[in-house]
Amino acid sequence: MKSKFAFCRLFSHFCTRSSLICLVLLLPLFSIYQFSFSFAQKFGFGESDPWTISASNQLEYSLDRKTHQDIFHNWTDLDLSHGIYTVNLRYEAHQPDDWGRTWQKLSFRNLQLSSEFLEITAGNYYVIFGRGLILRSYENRDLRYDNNLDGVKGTIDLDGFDLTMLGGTALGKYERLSDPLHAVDGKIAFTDWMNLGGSYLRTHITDFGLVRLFGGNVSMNFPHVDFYAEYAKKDNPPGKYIPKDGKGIYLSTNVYTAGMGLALEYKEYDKFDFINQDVTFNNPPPLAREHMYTLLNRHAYVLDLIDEKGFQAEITSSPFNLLSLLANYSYTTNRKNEVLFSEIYGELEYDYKDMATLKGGFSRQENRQEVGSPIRLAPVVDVIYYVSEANSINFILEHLYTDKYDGKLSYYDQILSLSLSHSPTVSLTLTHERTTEWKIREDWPGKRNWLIATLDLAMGENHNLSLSVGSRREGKVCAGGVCVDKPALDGFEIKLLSRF
Amino acid sequence: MFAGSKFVRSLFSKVLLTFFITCLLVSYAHGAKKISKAPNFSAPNLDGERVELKTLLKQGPVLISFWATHCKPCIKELNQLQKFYPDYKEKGFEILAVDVDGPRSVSRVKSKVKGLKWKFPVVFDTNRDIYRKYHVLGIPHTVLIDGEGNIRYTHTTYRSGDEKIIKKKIEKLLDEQKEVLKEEEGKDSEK
Repeated sequence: MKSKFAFCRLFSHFCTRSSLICLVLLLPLFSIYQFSFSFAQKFGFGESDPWTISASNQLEYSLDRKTHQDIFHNWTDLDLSHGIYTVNLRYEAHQPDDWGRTWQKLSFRNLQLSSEFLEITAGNYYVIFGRGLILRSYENRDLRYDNNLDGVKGTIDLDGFDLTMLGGTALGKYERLSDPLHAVDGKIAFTDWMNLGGSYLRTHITDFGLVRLFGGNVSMNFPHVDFYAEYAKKDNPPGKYIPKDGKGIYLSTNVYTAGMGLALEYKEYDKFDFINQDVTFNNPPPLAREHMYTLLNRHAYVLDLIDEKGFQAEITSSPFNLLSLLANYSYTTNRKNEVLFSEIYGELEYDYKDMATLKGGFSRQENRQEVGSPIRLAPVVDVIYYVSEANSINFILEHLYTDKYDGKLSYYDQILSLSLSHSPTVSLTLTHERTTEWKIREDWPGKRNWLIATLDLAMGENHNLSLSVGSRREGKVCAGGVCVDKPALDGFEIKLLSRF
Repeated sequence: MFAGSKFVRSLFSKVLLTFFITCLLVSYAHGAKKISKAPNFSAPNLDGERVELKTLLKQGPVLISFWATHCKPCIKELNQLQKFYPDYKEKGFEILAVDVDGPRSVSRVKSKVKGLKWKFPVVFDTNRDIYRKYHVLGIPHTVLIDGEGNIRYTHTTYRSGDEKIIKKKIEKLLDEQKEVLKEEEGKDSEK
């Protein structure tokens, strides 16, 4: 009965609120799509100069059975191209968004002119300079993060020479900032094996002053070895929360032969945070491993641009055709050499005669950013059994033991996941998570078990439907072949991805 | 008055919803017939050289696979594709792996690729410009493009066995290409 009620609520939500606008926008697209259209044929444009239209829609709806709180998110993206012109539009509806506000609007729109060597964008755009030490404007929909710029961007791309010039205002969590920024980034192929680059950015932050960032980078490619280095400097007045001036250094190298690769990275960030209100403009590499498993990512290291330095080494090897190995070590300290985070991770994967894939991994994390500076030990077992060409069973066990130095304060989290897949259309995943954490915190009683069933359906080539029922802890979740960050859930969730 | 408007709203919503679902199902039924042009792009490969889709398409069909180092199913899929890549490469087929790792992990891509012995070209899409151009909503995402630049097959996620479907689609495309070449040769000999 409850589920029926929830279903009705979902439908009424779809249709009675402003999300209707999204559907109205989509319906003509669906209709056009039926006829495998080409605008060129429909409107008589020549073959050499056709109109093309492409669109996608991402819909997420969840209903919590206890609080009856329903959450609806929808993103509709539409691109229309004709010759050198492209119009990109995005309409978003959130009821409510992650900060409790209900809104819907045309959130992204631009006009692009592209030729072989030149691209000019007017309106919203994303951009990255180098490895993000000076500027990175990007969208991460799973994290609900978007700091797109609104203005004009011009890019010249000649053989051996790239130049980007831009001006615009950044989108914050709640609204677009009023302070414009201007920047330029260039790269030149100095020789066949070496590129040199440089960037400059300036913005005047209201009630603070002029902030300038400038830096350079060099990349070198040799047989079996490559090298990248970037240095950036921040020049700004002293502020209440932002210390005066700062710098960032990032180095990386890869050494490889057939079947073996070694990556080494080094970072040093000193008073290098570049923020205006709630917008962070730069996003340098944190040098902490992003894992493929839920629990290993549960306590991810948080980048501290004020004061940190460290390194990371990762080796990947396939000594035999059916065996692959991975080992990773990351280490971060502050500038006084006090350890902030370290992790050692190893993984071994073996394909057994096309019948099964066996994988084992182990991680040891030490995170001094957290209260109690816990040490975490996490073994992982991942087995896929191929029943037939199209059917497979995947079993995953993740165990995360947390030792908060004091033996009494130890606990564990554990995830068991069983997935039945039939290629290419359907998979059913049952995921159970258990924690003993609640036992050690009398003031924080909570759930200790979560169980969720997820059905993933591929509807033709262009639609993917995901239905989840049950409860799920907050954090990164992987199911049906896709990994995303999700909030806690105790009810049901629908996700529909469509491309037209 | 209130009840009346509620009724109209409810009726309207049901009509719209029915239409929406009908369109979805019809588009599903017609999915195989869809032909649309693949947007062109160029991106740096592991050695920093620019790779352009248009250039690759001159040799024959191309399979674009969007992946990242932290995406387990992506790596599984590409490992499977690598198994049959050398055979099809000889026939003019190409795989282009588009890496969407951000600055956080992009430095480890090259060692990962070399360690896994992937032979197909890999290009970087660090700020996800190509990802947005192709309306990718999750990885792994594969796009099969014929030599004329038409998108012939798309697929999101990876389940064991998906590679066999991709293989069949590639074989079909290569057969078509063979037929076209034969026809062209026939015309040339007639002349």
